[in-house]
Amino acid sequence: MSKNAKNLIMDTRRRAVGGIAESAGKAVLFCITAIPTVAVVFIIFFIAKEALPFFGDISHLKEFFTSADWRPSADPNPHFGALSIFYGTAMVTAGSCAVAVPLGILTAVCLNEIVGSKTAGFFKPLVELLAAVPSVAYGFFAIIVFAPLLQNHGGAILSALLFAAGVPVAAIAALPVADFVSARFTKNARLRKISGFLFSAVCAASVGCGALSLSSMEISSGTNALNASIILAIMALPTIVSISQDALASVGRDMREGSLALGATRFETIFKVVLPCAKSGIAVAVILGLMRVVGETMVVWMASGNSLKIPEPFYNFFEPVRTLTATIAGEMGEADQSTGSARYHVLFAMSFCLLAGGLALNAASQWVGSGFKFRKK
Amino acid sequence: MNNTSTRKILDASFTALAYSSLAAVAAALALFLFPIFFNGAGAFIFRATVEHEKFLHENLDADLSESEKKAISESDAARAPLYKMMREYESPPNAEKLRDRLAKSYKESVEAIGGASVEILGALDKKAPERAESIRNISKKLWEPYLSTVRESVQESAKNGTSIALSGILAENEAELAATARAELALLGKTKRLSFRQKSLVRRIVTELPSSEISAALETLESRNRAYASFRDGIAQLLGPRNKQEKEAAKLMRQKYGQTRMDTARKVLENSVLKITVKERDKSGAEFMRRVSVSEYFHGTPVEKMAEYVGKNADAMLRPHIAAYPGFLFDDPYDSSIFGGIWPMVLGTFYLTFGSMLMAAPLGVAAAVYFSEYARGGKLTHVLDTCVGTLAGVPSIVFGLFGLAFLINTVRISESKSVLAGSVTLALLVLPTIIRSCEEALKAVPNSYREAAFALGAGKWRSIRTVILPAALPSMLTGIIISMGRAAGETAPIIFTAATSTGAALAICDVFTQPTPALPWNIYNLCTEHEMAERVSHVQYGMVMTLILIVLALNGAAIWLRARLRKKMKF
Repeated sequence: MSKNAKNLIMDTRRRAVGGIAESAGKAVLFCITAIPTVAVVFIIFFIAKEALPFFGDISHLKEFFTSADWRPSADPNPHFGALSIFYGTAMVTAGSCAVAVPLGILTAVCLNEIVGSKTAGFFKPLVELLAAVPSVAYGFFAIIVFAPLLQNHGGAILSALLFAAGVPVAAIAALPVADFVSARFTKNARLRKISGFLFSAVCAASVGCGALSLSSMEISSGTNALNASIILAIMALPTIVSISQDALASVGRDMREGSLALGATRFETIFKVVLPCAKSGIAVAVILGLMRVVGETMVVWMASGNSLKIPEPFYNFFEPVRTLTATIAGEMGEADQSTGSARYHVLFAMSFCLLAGGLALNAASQWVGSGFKFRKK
Repeated sequence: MNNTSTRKILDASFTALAYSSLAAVAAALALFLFPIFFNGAGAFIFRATVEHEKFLHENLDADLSESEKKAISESDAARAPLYKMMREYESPPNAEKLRDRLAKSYKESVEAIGGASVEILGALDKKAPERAESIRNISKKLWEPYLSTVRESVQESAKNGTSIALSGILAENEAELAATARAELALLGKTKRLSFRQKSLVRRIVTELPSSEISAALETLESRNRAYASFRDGIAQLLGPRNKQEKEAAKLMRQKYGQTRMDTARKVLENSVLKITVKERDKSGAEFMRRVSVSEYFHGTPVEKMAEYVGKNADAMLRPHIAAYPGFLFDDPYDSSIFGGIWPMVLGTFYLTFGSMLMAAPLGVAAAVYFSEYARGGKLTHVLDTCVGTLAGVPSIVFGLFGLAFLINTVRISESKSVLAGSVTLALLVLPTIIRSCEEALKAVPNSYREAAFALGAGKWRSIRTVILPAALPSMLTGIIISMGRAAGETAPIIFTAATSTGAALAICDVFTQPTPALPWNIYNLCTEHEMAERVSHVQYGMVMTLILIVLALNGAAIWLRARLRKKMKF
C-alpha cells in the first residue's frame, strides 16, 4: 500500500476518536434539544409548587371557583373568590371569537379561493403585519384611541359596524331560507325569485332597523368587555387567517374541480366541499387563535376595565370585566414577591389554571391537527 | 336548492361578502396604524414654543442660534406687560392708602366704644329679651364707621384690583379685635366689677358683629383670590416661572418651563388660563365647582385685562414654530417623561432583545439540526417534538411568573429583576418559534445536497457544517429575525423579571444585575399610571410608534433578506 493511500484510510484510533466526537456532538445536540422539554417540566413544576400552598386547602379551592369575593390582601379575612375573574376571561374570549372566527375564516376563504394570487400576495403581508404588531401597541390603541371613541360615540360606531356587517349577512342568509320555504308552495320560478328578494329585503331591513336603534345608546365606560373583545379579535385574526388558509390550500384541486364539474357554483363548492375537507385544519386555526386570546395579557389589562363584578345581565358587553392574565399582571407587582404571601400563592394558582387551559388547548390542537395531517396525505 | 337564479345571487353575494371581509381587515389595519403613526410623528416633528429651546439649551447643552435668541428675548418682551399687570394686582401701589383708611375708621370705632361705657353698662343690667336687642343696637351703632368703610372697600376692591391687599388688611384687623375687647374690659373694670357672664357679654358687643362682617368680607375676597390664584397657576403652567427666583425655587422640571409644545399650550390656554374652575356655594350652603371663563368672572377688573392680553398675545409670548426633535430617540427623559426623550427605554429593549437572541438563536439552531438531521423518529423524539409545541402554547404571562419563581426566587440569577433574568425568560419564550422555523428551513434543503456531501466523503458533521447549514441559512435567519421582533414587543414576561418604570439608561456592565426600563413596559406605564397623562400624550404615541417601527423594521429586514438570499441560492 502506498503512503498516500495509507493517509486516506483512517486508522482505527482516528476512527474511534471521530466516533466518540460524533456521538459526543450528538449528545450535546440532544441535550440542547431537550431544553424545551426541561423548560416545560420546570414551568409546570414551579407554577404548581407555588400554587400548591393555596390549592392544598380545600376550603380555599371551593371559594376560588364558586365565589366572586376577591379580597386577597384583606387582613385578617382574605377572600379568594375568582369566579368573576374566570367569567371575565370566558366572556372576553367568547366575544373575540364571535368576531374573529367568522371574519378570519371568511378572509382565509377569500384569500385562497376567490381573489387572484396577486391580490392575495398583496393582502397576506398585511395580515402578517397584524401579527407582528406587539400586543402592548394593541393595548395602547385600545385604551388611548378606541376607549374614548367608544365612550363618546359608542352607539354610532356600533350601529355602523352592525349595519355594515349585519345587513348583507342577513340579506344573504335570508335567500336560501326563502328559497327553501317557497319551494314548498309554488313551482313558479319568477314568483319564487320575487318572494326570495322580498324576504331578504325584509330581513335586511329589520337588522338595519335594529342597528339604527343602537345609535342612541350610551356607553358609560370605554374600557369594557366589548373593547377588549374587538381588539383581541384583531390580534387573533392573523393566526386564524394564516392557518385556515394553509388548511384550505391543502385541499386538493381535484375536489374543487369535481364539484365545479358537477355544476355547483363556487359558493356551493366552498361551503359543501372545500370547507368540510379543511375542517380539522380550520379547527386547529380556531384553537390556536383561542390560545392567543386566552393567554393575552396587555390588551385585556389595559382595555377591559379591570372591574371585579360579573356584568349585569351576564351578556352585557358594555361593562368592564377582569381576566386572569390581567389579575396576575396587575397584582403580582403588589404581592410580596419574594417571601410568598397568600396573595402570591393565589396568583400562582390562577396562572396554574391558565397554564392548564393553555396546555389543554394545545393538546386539543395537536389532536385535531393530527387528523388534519392524516387527511392531507 | 333548485332555483338557479337564487344560487347565482347567493354565489355573487358571498363573493362580495368575502371581499368585504378582506376590506375589513385592511381597514382595521389602517385605522389602527394611522393614528399611531400620525401622532407618533408628532413626537419628532411638532409646533414648538420658545420654552422648548430654553429646555434644550439649559438641560441638553444645545446651542441657541441667533434667531432663537432673538425669539426668546422677543417673547420675554411680550410677557413683560402681563407680568407687570400681575405684579400690580398682587401688591397694588395704593395698598398703603387703603390700609390707612381702614385703620383710621377702625380707630374711630374703637374710640366710640371707649366713650360708650355708660351705655354698655346700662345694657348689661337689662333683662334677658331686651338685653340682646340693645346689645345688638349698641354694637351696630359703635362699629358703623368701620363696617361701612369695610363694605365700601370690599365693593371697590374688585374694580381697583385690591382684593389681595384688602384681604390681608382685614385679616390683620380681625386679629386686633381680641386686643380691643381686652382693652374695653379693662376700661369697664375700673368703674364696676364685672361678673364672668357680663364679661362675655361685653366681649360679644365688641367683637361679634365686626368679626362676622369681616369673615363674610374675607370669604368674598378669598373666593376671588382663589380664582385669581388658579388663573395665575394657569399662566405659570403656560409660560413657566416669571423670574429667576421662581425658577430656582421650583423643584420639578415641569415648574421650570412653560409648555414646550404648541398643542398642549393651546389646551392649557383654553382649559386653565382663559377658563378656570371656581368653588361656589349654593343657597343651602353646599359647595360646588363651576367652570367659568376668566373674563366673565373677573368682569370689569384688572384680571379681565390680563386674560384679554394673554388671549391676544399667546403667540407672541410663546413664539410657535415648527421644530424637529430627533433627540426624542436619543435623549434621557426628564420629570417623568414630560420633557426629553426615550433613550433608556429604547436601549433597554435592545438589551433584552439581543440578550434573548444571543441565547435562543444558537440553541434553536442546534435543536433544529438535531430534529432534522439526527432524530430518527421513535417515542423520545416524539416527546421532544411535542414539548416544543407545548412550550409554544404556554401563555406569555406564565413565562413571566416562571422567570420570577424559578430564575429570581430559586436560582437567584440576580438579586431582583435584571436584564439577564428577562433575557433568559424571553429566550425560552421565542425558542419554540426559532426551532420550528429553523427546522422548516433545514427540511427544505433537498436531500441531494446531503447525498452529494456524503458521496464526496464528508462526514455527517462536516456535511451539516459546510453544506446544509449554509444552504438553509437565509430561511433560518428570517425566522430568527422575526422571533427577534416578537421578543422586542413582548411585555408580560418582562414585567416581573426585567422591567422597571423609571431609571436611567443602563450601562452594558450592569445588565447582569440591574433592571432596565423597556419600551413595552413603559408604554403601559405611561398610558395607565402617569399623573399628567395629557402632557405625555406625544411621548406615548412616540414610544408606540418607535416600538412598532423597530418590530416592522426587523420584519422588513427579514423579508428583504429572504428575497435577496433566495435569489442567490435556489434549490
